[in-house]
Amino acid sequence: MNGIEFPYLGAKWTIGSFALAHTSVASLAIGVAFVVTVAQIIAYRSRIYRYDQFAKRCQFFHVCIYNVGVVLAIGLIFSLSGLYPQFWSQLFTHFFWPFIVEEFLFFLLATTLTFHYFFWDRMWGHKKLHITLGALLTPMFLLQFYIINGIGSFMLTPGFGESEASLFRGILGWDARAFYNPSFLMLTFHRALANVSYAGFFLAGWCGVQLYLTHDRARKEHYEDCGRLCFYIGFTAFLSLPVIGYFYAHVLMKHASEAFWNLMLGQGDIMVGGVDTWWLKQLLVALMLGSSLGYFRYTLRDPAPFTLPGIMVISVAVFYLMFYVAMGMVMTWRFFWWMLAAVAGGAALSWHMLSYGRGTARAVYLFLGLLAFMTVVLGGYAREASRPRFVQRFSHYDSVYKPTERQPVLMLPITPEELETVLAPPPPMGPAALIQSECARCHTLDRVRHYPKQDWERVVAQMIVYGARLTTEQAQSVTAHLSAGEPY
Amino acid sequence: MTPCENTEGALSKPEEKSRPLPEGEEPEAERAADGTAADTASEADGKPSGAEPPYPERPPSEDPRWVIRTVWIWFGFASFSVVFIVVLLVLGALYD
Repeated sequence: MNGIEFPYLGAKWTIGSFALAHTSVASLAIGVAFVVTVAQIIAYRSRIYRYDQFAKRCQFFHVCIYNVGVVLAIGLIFSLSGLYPQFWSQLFTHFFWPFIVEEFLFFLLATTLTFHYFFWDRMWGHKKLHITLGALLTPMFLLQFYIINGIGSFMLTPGFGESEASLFRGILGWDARAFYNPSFLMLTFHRALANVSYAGFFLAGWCGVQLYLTHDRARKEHYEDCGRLCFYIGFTAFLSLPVIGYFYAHVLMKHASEAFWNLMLGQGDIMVGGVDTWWLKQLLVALMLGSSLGYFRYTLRDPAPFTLPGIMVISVAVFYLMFYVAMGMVMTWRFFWWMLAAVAGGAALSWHMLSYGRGTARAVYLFLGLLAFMTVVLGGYAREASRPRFVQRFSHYDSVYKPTERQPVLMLPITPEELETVLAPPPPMGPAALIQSECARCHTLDRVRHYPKQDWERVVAQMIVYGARLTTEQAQSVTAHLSAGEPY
Repeated sequence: MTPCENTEGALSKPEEKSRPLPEGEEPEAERAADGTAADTASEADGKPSGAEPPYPERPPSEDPRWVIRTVWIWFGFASFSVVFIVVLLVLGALYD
């Protein structure tokens, strides 16, 4: 089947471009809402006006990027529905109602954000109400990306068998077992904290830019203070991310093994121009950790607020040393040494930047802001690129997400009780059919074609360990079929 | 784009005592935040611009009533909607 082609970029990179641009803006918007609330509360409690002024500027920035994020989301939806119609109809079959709730949340968020920013000074006498209104943005955003995470994680770990059962007895447009799939929880934890961390470091980076541009002493003090606050928020949220990432990877290893090994071994689309994007992202994370620790170690005796006690800095350093040792044991020692070098290099670099700037942290803020942005883009790319590619984008989803027997059920107005009588008899399960149904449950048939004929006995045994549901007789027939080079 | 293009003048704004506002007039904090106050010259001079303005205080009665009424109505609706969506997600997890 011929479909719509996007000139120059092609289907995959069109989706990738919209998705990455949207993610980098939308994640920032979510985190900025949280930083605004924290800054407003600090200003209200401490009666320091500068934090409130800063919060208002951030919210203005938020109003601007919120619009950009929504426009990019619409571009993503249009592109997906045009370029991947089969995929898109599949997603609606599973998740139509969550999408409707998501749309309603867009309305709630846009209106709340508008009232919060544009009534900022008009309701100055009702400051608590104003802060609470702004604080409402954070749970709304959490709900919004809670829903998107259900859908996004489903694309990585569909939880095949369970989600099929859910559709057979459920409501069309809501598939609870597909939504609450194996990697949903870890993705949600990781993204919740990552968004806050990203926004904190990004806004600190923006303070760093302002520190470079201004010569006014009062302004410098203002941006040093606000940058320190944002850096503190960014680092606090950042601390647990690598650990959550470890457990997230563990879930992938169990439920999306091909994606996991693509990430670990730098296979397929993970490599871009000879660069392993996942490794690069890990290096940037280690660099961020080292730079932050160097910064907090340098500002240890600083009387200004938002510094960390020495024992905390040492504890974090020791904890992460242990973490990277554990990662080295799980992965490779090469990983450990690279990460250790990046942490040490980052710490030395931030120490140097602070000494060179004679105490001003503008270079560190800017550096971490850039690193945070690059980490978000690379992390988002690596996660999506790790999935097995869908070679035929119109028919492949049928074999991955939707067993052929479900097709008539979805198209007919029947009750679950009538299901048994409507379903067509199962197709014959010869070796070719088994290969199509069992192998394509986890990866494309294209991958099957890459194995050498003499290895099939070992590979089939390996796949049974990975979860292929074959009896001994079926395994033997499949092995014979593949070893003989028969078509499937 | 920078988030503060319309608020640059606010930092060195000396705060004045609040006064009752006619309907439609912007309060002091808003004028300060919009950078309409005439204190933006200090940055161009490269000189320190003085002490930071104190946290503005204003009695609640001076806020426009239509704003507060609008926000309360919206806050109620939005809070109810958030709770409703949470209930939907919980029920959706239990029954599908």
